[in-house]
Amino acid sequence: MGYLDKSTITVDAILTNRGRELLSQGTGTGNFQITKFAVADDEVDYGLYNTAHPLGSNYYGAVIENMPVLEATPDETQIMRYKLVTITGNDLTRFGSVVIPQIVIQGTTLPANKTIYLYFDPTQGTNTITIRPITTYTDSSSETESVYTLMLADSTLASVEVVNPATGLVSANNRGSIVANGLEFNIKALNKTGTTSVSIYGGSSGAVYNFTLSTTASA
Amino acid sequence: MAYNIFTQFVAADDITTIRANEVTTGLWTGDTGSLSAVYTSSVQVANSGEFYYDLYNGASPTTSDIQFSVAYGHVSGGGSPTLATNANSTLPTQVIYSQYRNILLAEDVEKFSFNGVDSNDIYVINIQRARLKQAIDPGNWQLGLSGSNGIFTFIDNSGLGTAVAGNLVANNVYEIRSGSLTAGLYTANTQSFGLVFPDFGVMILSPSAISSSVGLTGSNSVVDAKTKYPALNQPYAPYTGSAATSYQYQHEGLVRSISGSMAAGSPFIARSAESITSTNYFVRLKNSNYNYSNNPTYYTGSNPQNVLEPFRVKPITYATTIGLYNDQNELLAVAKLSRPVQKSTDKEALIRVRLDY
Repeated sequence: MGYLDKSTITVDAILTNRGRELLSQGTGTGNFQITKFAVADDEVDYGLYNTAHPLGSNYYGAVIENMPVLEATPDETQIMRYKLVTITGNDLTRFGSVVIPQIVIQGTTLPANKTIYLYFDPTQGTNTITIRPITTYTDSSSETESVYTLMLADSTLASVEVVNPATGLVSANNRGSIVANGLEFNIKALNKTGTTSVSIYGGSSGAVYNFTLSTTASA
Repeated sequence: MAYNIFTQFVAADDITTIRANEVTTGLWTGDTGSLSAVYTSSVQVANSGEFYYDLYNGASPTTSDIQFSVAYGHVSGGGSPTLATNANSTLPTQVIYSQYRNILLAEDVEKFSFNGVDSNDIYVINIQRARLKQAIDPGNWQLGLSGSNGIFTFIDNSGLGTAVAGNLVANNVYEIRSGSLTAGLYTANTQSFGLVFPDFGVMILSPSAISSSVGLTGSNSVVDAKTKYPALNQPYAPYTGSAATSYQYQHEGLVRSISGSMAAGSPFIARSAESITSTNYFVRLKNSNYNYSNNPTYYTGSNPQNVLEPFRVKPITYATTIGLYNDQNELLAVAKLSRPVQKSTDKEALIRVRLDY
């Protein structure tokens, strides 16, 4: 028995549902191949960083640093929601100060409750919505990222088609959610009433946009 | 765009060689290592009892799990009705012997052999697949049997480091010998009572050796064995003749012997073994990376979303979660840190993420 090397933090990872699904198909190309990592801080509230701490600057982050961290969940649609991001070069200064980008859905104005309604009875209203995300920094500065990831939690309510690039309908994973990569998506209501969540992530920025999708037969 | 959330692993530097670790747990339901009572299912016995008995860890099969099965095999169908006496006979004892012979013995080997002597019949203990995981942990199991000579316990001789060689499909097969986990092999009796095939989760016992040593007395003759001693719960040796006209349930005697041993305080103790493949991913958070966050509490305003005032001059973030992705941006594995790790332009972090599968 030896002493653990404490210069390295060691943590155990768990497979996500998607990871388990791919692992069952093997570890060859296109299946279970881990190639990169990202870092998140889902449960951190930066409002707890207290620059007025009575013990001084060493304690500004004490509350955050001592908070308990929850265990991982295997549902890939519910974890890694808020990713840490590396910002370098001109982006550190070009807006005067560092800006965290946000995603906007072009051509669609969401109501205040951020709920999109789709009607699977086409006589009652639209049954399909086109999602074309764009990443904005300021009112006058925006750009399209190389890829966006759209996650639909409940595939029994709607289908997702990637229309740019035109790769077609995306299959649900074994937990019934859909994860699609592309630049433009069509979400179409299926014949079932319900409410589910949709999240869109910028593939480079990590910016996230969440809305609720409600499917119904009639208004 | 100079925003980036992903860092590519460099295989040679960041991913260590895969290696296998052996993990052992209790063999029985709930990862318990000791089974002190077993129960049969009347439904299972009615459906397939002439071939084998499933043994449960609870009285109700609907709320308990199969732990292992017990069967009896005879090379020429002894104890089963012949087709001459029963045209509908399924020859269960011959089926069982042939089945295990074909699976466990080398090609063209006709019979199991114990102590250098071929055996026409065998008892089989077959661990349920869900309990087994990958293998029985050799050297860490103990079977108790009761009979007219008392309670006897059996272990394997894997501690001697010599596997049984020849005429076997597997190469890590050990003899079943008299002994206990606490005292080791019983040196005064080096007789082999059978063979354990850890990778198959199967124990093959010699009925003649077990019967004479433990004292499985009496013959069930041509009477249905499961009803012969219903009140006495007495273990007995199997009937091996050819005069049977109905199914004899030859394994009933071994079930009663195991059950009787458990009732007398000698449980069936065993562990399962499983090789876990581990891959280490070294996550290096360099000083210039991951110093900003998309966390909605990290910024203020809506357009633009400006970083909170304390982090504008000296950006600080707190990492709690590492996600491992493939090239399709699919999250395949996730690890949580035990506490938030501060990251800033003057701090780096090296995190080793271990993934077992």
